[in-house]
Amino acid sequence: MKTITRYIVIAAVIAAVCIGGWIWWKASHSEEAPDERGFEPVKVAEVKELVSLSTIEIDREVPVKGQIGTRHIVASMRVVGDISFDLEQLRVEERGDTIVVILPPERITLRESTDSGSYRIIDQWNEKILAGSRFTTEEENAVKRNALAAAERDLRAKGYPAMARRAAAADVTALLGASTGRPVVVDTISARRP
Amino acid sequence: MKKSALWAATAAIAAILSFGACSRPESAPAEATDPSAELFEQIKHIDRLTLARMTVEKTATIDDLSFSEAKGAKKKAEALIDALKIGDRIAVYSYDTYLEGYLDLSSLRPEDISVDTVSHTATLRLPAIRTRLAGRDPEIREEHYRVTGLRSDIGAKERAQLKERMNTAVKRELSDSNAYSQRVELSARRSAERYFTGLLKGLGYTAIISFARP
Repeated sequence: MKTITRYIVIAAVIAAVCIGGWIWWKASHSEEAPDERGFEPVKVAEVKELVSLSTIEIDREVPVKGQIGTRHIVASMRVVGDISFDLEQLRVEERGDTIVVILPPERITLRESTDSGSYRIIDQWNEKILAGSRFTTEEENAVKRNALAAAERDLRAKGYPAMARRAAAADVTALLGASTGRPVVVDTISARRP
Repeated sequence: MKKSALWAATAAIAAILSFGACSRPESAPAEATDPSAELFEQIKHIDRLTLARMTVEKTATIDDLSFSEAKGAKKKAEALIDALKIGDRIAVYSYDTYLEGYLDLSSLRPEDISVDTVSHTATLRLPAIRTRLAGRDPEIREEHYRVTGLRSDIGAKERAQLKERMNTAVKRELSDSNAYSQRVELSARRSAERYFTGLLKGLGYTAIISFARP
């Protein structure tokens, strides 16, 4: 009798382990639906018509570092953008048979990439022990704005706007020249930024 | 005798170990690396004429999971724990993503543009309009924030994780429906026709504009 009871107990334990293992395996291998609780559907805020010639495309990782008081934050942001010219601000003059075109000031646009993991918090801390290290949304936004402004300064310092301007001049010359059959001259002097 | 042999052996082992520790070469100093040199950067020359831009807004709420909404044992347990917490924790965030319609001017061939100087007519066969995701706003808007009682504040990491999930949802919604890209393409075509017609008219030419098939 004791032997039978022992065998029943052993069989029950083995069965429980197998069932538990199967449940664990199913749970760890099942794909969870993405958690979109509390998400509103996308909404179209604006559709704008424009004519913007981009001649340089940017894709870079930008360090995001901020300090407010004794609180610090360090993050990494993948940034995409371009250097472009608003062709609706193009000035076109005719001097005899020649078309003279003056390009508007360049515009550097930098945005966060939509690739996965484009913005990662690396570290947050407070120099004071036991004090909180939280950054509010507005504080974090200000840190991000500063990071993008620094990235734009870096692009300007490297001479990319001048490269973009030369390329835009070549594009406009080719397009207008082919469309009119007339010589085209593009003013490549960088207009003063407002 | 045995005790003294044991002490001698212990002393010898201690001596060997301490000699080894002292003579261990110092680990080479970590190389100073320039962090900016490790960051990814790619600058590319392009010839892109952007003709339309759609701003798409995504909004999401962070709040406690109710027991009735919870599905599965894990979520039910989370909902139960949330119900026991003292205070409320609700926040609403939104941000914008951009979808653009554009022409790739590098695919324009000489035979795509012709001009009749007698009749002052320019015929332009522009490349097909394409659409692309042109990034998202780095800043996130906090539409509402209320954390009370003993609840933990919503910090930068949680906001970043929420934005990541919102981003996945935005990309899925934009790709699941053609309506968004079709609307951008229509606006881009109108913009191209309006611009080139006006530009060439200003120079005394009549423009005939068409688009290549995608």
